[in-house]
Amino acid sequence: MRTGLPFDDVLAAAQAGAAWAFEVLYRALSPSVTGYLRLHGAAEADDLASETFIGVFTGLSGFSGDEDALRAWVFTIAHRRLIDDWRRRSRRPQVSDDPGDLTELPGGDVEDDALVGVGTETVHRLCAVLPDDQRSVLLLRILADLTVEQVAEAMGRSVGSVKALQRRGLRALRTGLENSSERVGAGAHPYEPLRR
Amino acid sequence: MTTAADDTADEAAFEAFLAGRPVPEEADGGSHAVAAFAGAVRATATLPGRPSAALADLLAAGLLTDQSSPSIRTAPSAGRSLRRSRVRRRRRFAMLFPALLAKFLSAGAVAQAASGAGICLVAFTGAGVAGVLPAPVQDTFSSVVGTGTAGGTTVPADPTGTGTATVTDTVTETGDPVLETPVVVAPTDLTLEDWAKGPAPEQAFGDWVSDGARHGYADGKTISEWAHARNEDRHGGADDSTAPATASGAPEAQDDDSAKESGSRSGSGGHRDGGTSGSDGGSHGGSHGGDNGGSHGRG
Repeated sequence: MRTGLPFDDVLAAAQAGAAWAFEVLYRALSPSVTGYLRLHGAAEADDLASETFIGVFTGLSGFSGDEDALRAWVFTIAHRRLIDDWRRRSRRPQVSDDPGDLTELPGGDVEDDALVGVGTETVHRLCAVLPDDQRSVLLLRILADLTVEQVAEAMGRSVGSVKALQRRGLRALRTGLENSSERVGAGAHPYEPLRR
Repeated sequence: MTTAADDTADEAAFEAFLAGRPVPEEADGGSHAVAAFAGAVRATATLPGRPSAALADLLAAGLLTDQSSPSIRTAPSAGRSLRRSRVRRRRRFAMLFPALLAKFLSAGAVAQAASGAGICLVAFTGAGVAGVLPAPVQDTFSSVVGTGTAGGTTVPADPTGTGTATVTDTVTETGDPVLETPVVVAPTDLTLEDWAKGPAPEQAFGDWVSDGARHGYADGKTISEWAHARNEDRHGGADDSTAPATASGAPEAQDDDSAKESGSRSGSGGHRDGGTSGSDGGSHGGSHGGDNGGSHGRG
């Protein structure tokens, strides 16, 4: 999380309820939190992210810790909001069919945007085939930059369980990637456009 | 066919990517693809989401902690709170009165006489204080009890309040009734139950959140539920059925995780994420007892 300001100052101001500090934290954490929820197929990822940050800001007065701890806490809340949402909907999460959610990426070049859009759709498709727990582990590690121990705490699991889920998730991912490569064609990597 | 060696190579490539290191050269194409996937995932998460109206209020106004002069918009809810408390007192009295009457009727004759004398004494004292006794009796009463008041301010003769100075502070020499000023919001007027019932119709959501935070009732779960309900109202028209289900104003029942979180919170203490809500609770890293138990050391 790069706020551009001393983290302790931002945290202290946010704990006092300062709007500017909320804005700084929101800008720093919202992209990854919203991305996490979207890649989990949350139907209303923006709303869930908003609920997450409302919970963070109203509960921030009791927090103490560094940036890593704050990020882990924020993603823990996001993860639990997601689980609550799944339970509310009582169905398996599905990939959002709202193209606006998938293609809202920065850029100005139409061709680049289209390529990124294709890559984004592939990412969503691959994530959708992963079991929920495996997807949670991989996304928390990639997007939240959490350690295995932090992921274990966020998900309420043991470290060994998280390591096993990660291993199985990577294996499933490799299989999915190989299938994608076969579909795209020999020599064409599904993420080539994103490696800019 | 994925082999154990592939698994190890994929994990190594994955960890290398997360650590910002290049993927090991000995890794095969599949491991490179795994690392590339991780990069693609990060590339999809570059923009913040659209904040809801409630969050936008928070981002614009923050949580106002210093509100020495309450806003006009908070006055109606405060007045309503006073009315509610009066109604509650009346209901409580209505429940207690039959029980007291039954107890009195079932008591013995001596007890009834003693109780009756006590009631008469209290009634007489109250009438004397109010100045509605006949003139000679009132003069006598004033000479005996009148030393308890000075300048319209009641000074209790007994600091413990158990003595004969039962004159309350609502009695003044002018006999003017105490006027209620609904604009003044006493910090203790807002109860958790009232707050959990959500913002008043004319109250801004941010003000409601600020009220809750100022009284220590701010609960992320409750706020989220009301924010969600408000958003649904905005999207689909006003409908009371969208209000969060409350048990005496509390948010919806917690799930298994919440119960587990509340258990771990009680174990380590520390963070308070919204009072009654267990959704964000649990214990969190070292000094923080919010969501994560234990420490967040890098592994």
